[in-house]
Amino acid sequence: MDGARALIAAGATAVCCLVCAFWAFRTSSSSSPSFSKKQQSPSLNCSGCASCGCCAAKSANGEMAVGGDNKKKGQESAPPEGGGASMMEQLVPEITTHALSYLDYTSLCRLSMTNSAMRRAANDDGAWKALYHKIQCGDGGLGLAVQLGPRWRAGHCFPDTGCPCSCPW
Amino acid sequence: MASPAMVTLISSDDARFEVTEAAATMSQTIRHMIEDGCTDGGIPLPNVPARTLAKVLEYCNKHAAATAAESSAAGGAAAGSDSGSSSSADSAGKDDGVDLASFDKAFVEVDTDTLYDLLLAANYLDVKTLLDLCCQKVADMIRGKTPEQIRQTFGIKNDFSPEEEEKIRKENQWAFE
Repeated sequence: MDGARALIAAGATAVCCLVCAFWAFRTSSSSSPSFSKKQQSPSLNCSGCASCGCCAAKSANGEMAVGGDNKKKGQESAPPEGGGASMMEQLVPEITTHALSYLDYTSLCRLSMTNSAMRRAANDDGAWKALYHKIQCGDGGLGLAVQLGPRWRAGHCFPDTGCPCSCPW
Repeated sequence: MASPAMVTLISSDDARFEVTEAAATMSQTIRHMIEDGCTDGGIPLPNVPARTLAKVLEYCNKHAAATAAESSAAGGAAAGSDSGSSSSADSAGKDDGVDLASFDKAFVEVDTDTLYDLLLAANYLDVKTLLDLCCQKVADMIRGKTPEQIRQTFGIKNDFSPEEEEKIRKENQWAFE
C-alpha cells in the first residue's frame, strides 16, 4: 500500500510540475491548474511543486540567459574602455616578452623608465635572457657585455641560457 | 587544376569570411580545427572581431599566395628545359620576395589600437610569422626613443613620483653614456 501511495505521490508531483511548467510558459491566469481525480493530497504535492525545481529551474534559466546577455555586452564594451591603460600595459605578458626580446639593452632600459608596469615588464628575466643570449652567442661581443655590467650586478646574470657566462661579478 | 579547397571562418560578430584552406591553415589554431574535422557550417573564432580578422586574412592570403607562387615557380624551373623560362621564373621569385617584404612593412603601418588587436589575434590564431612581424613593429616603435617619447608613442602614463624617477634615472645612467 505504501508503494502504491508513493507511486501516486510521485505521479502527482510529476503532473504538478508539468502543469507548473505549462502555466509558467503561458503566464496567463486562464490556464488554471486542473488536477486529476487520483490526486489524494493535491495541496501537499503542490506546495512541494512550488519548490520542486520546475518553476525554479525556469526562472534560473531565465536569469542565466539574461546573465549571458550581460556578459556578452560586457565583453563587447571591454576593449574600448580599457581602464585608461596603454596598449603596452594591456598586452598579455607572453606577447610583451616576445616583443621586448627584439630590443637592445638601451631601449629596454629606457622603456623601464616610462612607468611602473613597464618597469616590471622590461625587468622581466625573459627579455634580458634573450638579450644576453644575443650578446654572448651573437656578434655583440664582449664590449656590450661589459656595458651590461650594472645589469649583471643588479642580479641579472643568466648562466642557464646555454651560453658561456663570463660573469665576473 | 582543381579549384582550391575553401573554408568559412566566422568572426566574433558573426561575419563570415570564405578563404582558401592554404591561407586559413597559416593559423595553427585553424589548422588543428580542420584536422579535427570541426569545419561544418564554418569555423567560429569567438575571440576575433571582423575588422581584425579581415586584416589577418589579408596577410594570410598574401603570404599563402606568395608561397604557392614560389613553389610553382621552383617546380616550373625544375621542369623547364630551356634556360629562358627558368631565368624568368627566378626573377619572378625574387620580385615576390621584395614585394612580400614591402607588403609586410606596409601591413604594420597602423595605429597602436590596430596593432594591439593584430597582436592578440595573431597570438590566438597562432600565426607565428604575423606575431613576429607585429612584435618586431612594437620593438621598432620603442627603439631609439627617450622614455618620454616612448610614453607619447603608446600613451603610457608616468606613475613615478619625482623621487622615484630620479632614483631610476640614476640606476639607468649607464645606458645613456
